[in-house]
Amino acid sequence: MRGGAALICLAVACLAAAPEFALQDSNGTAHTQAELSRHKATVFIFVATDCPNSNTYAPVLARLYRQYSPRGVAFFNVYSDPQETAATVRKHDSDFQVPYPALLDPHQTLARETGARSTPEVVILGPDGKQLYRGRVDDRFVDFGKTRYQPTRNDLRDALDQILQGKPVVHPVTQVLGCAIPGIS
Amino acid sequence: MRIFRTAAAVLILDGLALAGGAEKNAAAPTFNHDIAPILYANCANCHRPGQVAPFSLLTYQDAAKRAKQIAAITQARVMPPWKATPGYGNFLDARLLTDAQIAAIRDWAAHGAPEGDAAEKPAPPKFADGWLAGEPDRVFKMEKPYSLPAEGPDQFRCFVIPLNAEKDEYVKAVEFRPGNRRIVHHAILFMDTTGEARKRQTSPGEGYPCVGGPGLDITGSLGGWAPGAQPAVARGGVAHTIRKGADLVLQIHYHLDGKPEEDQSSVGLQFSQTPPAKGLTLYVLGNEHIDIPAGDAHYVVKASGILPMDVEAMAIFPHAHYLCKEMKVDAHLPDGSVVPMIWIKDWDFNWQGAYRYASPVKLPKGTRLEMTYTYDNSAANPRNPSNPPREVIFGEETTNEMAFAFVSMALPSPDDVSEFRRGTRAELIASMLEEGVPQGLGPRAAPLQLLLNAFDTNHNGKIDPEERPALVQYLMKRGAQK
Repeated sequence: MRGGAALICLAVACLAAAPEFALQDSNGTAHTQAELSRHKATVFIFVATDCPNSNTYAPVLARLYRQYSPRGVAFFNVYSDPQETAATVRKHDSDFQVPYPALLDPHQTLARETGARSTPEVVILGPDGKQLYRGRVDDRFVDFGKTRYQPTRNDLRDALDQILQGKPVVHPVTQVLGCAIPGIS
Repeated sequence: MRIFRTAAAVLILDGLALAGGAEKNAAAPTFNHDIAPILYANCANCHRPGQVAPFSLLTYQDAAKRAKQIAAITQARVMPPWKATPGYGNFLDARLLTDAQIAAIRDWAAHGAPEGDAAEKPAPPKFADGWLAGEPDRVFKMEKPYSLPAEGPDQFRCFVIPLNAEKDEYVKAVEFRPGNRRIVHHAILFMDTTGEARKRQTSPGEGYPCVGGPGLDITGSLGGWAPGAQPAVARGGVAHTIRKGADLVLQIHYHLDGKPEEDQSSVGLQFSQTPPAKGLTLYVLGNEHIDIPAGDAHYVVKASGILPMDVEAMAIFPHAHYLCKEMKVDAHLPDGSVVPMIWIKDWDFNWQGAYRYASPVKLPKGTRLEMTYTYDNSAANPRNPSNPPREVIFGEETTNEMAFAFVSMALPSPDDVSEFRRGTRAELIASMLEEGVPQGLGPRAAPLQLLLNAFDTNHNGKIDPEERPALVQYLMKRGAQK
C-alpha cells in the first residue's frame, strides 16, 4: 500500500499525499510526521555512509543548517539502506561533523513516501506535510566522472529562500546525480 | 508494402526478443560465477576497505546494491579509470575491461544481480599489506603530517624530502606508499638538485602548493603512483640516478572527501650497486604559447620536437589543466611511418598519470614527436574553473593552462644523456627558425637572427630541411664546448 501512495504522489505531483512515518534517529529518539508542523520547513537529506556524492556535501549542508535552522528550518539526514546500523551512522555523522540528527529508514518508508531514489537527494516538506522540493543540493555533478569546478546553481538554497519568503519554489523537482538507494530505483 | 514491411520488422524484433529471453534463462550471469572474478581482478585493488575508492566491492551485498550503477559506469568506461584510448600505445597495467566483461555486468544487473551458486564463489583477492616490491633499503617519509580541510577543489601539494645522497646512487625499485588512502589520489616523484624546491616551502616539511608541477627545472623523476599501480622496478637496463645532494619533491594530488583528514606519505627506495647499462632522461615536448580566448570551445595547441639520437620511449606523462579535452601524441619516424604514442579523448585533470609502455618504443634518430592538444574554454565546459569564462594563458595556476608531454627516454649509454640534451636543445632552436625568427622574442631575437644569417645558405629567410643538419651540428658543438 505504501508503494501505491508513492505512485499517486508521483502521478499528481504530490498535491495530496502527506507522508506518514515513524522512525528512530541514530540516538534512539522517535520521530513522526507530527513534528513537521513545528517548523516552517523540514529538510530530509537522503544519504549513505559510503556514497562519495553525499559525503562530499557534508560541509555544504552543515553551513546551510547553521544558516537556516535559526529561521525555523529543521534538517535530518535519512539513511534508507537496510544495511546501515545506528552505530555506523553515529560514527559516520560524527566523523563528517554533521550538526543535525540522522533518521534510520531501514524499511525505506520515508524514501518511498517521498519518492527519493538516490543519495544525496533532498526532500523539503512544509508544516502540513506537503512536498515543496525534491532533488539535488546543487549542480556540481554533471555526469559520472564529470564534476563542475564549482556549482552554478544552488537549488536547495534557492528553494529554502523561496519557501521562507512564502513564494512557490521555482524548480520544485531537479535531477539528482548520485548513488542509487538500494532496492528502490 | 509499408504494412508488410512493418509486420516483418515486428517479427524480427519478436525473434530477437525471444532469442534474448531464451539466452537470459540459459546463461544469466551470476555474481559468484561471472561478476566477482571481474570485480576482484579489476576493481578491488581500490574498492576495498581503507583504500581511495569510496566503497568496497568485495562482497555480494556490496556489489549487488550498486549493480545498475556499476553497469552504467563500466559501460560509459568511466570506471575503471583509464584515459588512454585502447590500441593507441600499448601500456603496462592498463585498467581496461573487455567488451565481454562490460556486457556480463550489464546482463547481470538487468537480471536483478543474482548471487549464484555459493560453491562457485571465488576467494576474495589477497592484497599485500607491506611493501609490494620487498623491504626498501631506505624509506623517505614526509617530515610531518599534512592537514586537509573537509571540502574544496582537489589540492596539489609538493613536499620536499632530502634524499641525503653523498654520491650518485642508482635506484632499483621505487615504491610510493600513501599515508591516507582515502584522500591520496595520485603522486608524482620529482628530483631537484638546485635547492629551489626547498626555498618554496614556508617552513621545512610544510610543502608548497603546486598545481601545474613542482614549478622548477625538473632535473629528474622517480616516476609516479596512482591507486592500483605496481611499484616501479628498474627494467630494460635503465635506472633512475639520484644525484648527490638531490631532494625528492613529492607532488601529491589530494581529493577531499567531506571530512577533515591528514596525510603523511612515504617513499621506499631499493638501490643497486652497479650503474645501469643505459641512460635515462626526461624529454619534454611542450608549448608555452597558450592564449585561449574566453568562450573558445576548440583551441588547438601543437608542438613538435626532433630526436637527436636513437632512443627508446619507456613511459609518457601527458599534462594539461582543467580546460584541455583531448590530447594526442604521435611519433613520425624518418622512414615515414607513424607510431601512435598516446591518445586521450576525454582528458580529466583529476586522472592524470604516467603511462608506461609494455615494451620500450624504439624511436630512431630524426624521429619527429608531434603533439596536438585541444582545449574548451566555453561556459558549456563544466570543468571550466572560471564562470563566466576568462582568457586563459600558460601558467601554473588552476586558472592557467599547460601543454606538455613528458617522455621518459632510455638512451644507449648513461654517457649519452648530456649529448641527448644538447641535441634536443639544438633541434629545438633549429625548429624555431623553420619559419624564420619568431615574432615577439624581444632581445632573444638577436642571437637567433645571427644563426639564421649564418646558416640560411639560400637566403630565403628560414632554415630549410637541407640547411638544418649544419645548424644542428654547429649548435651541438657549441653546446659541448660550454
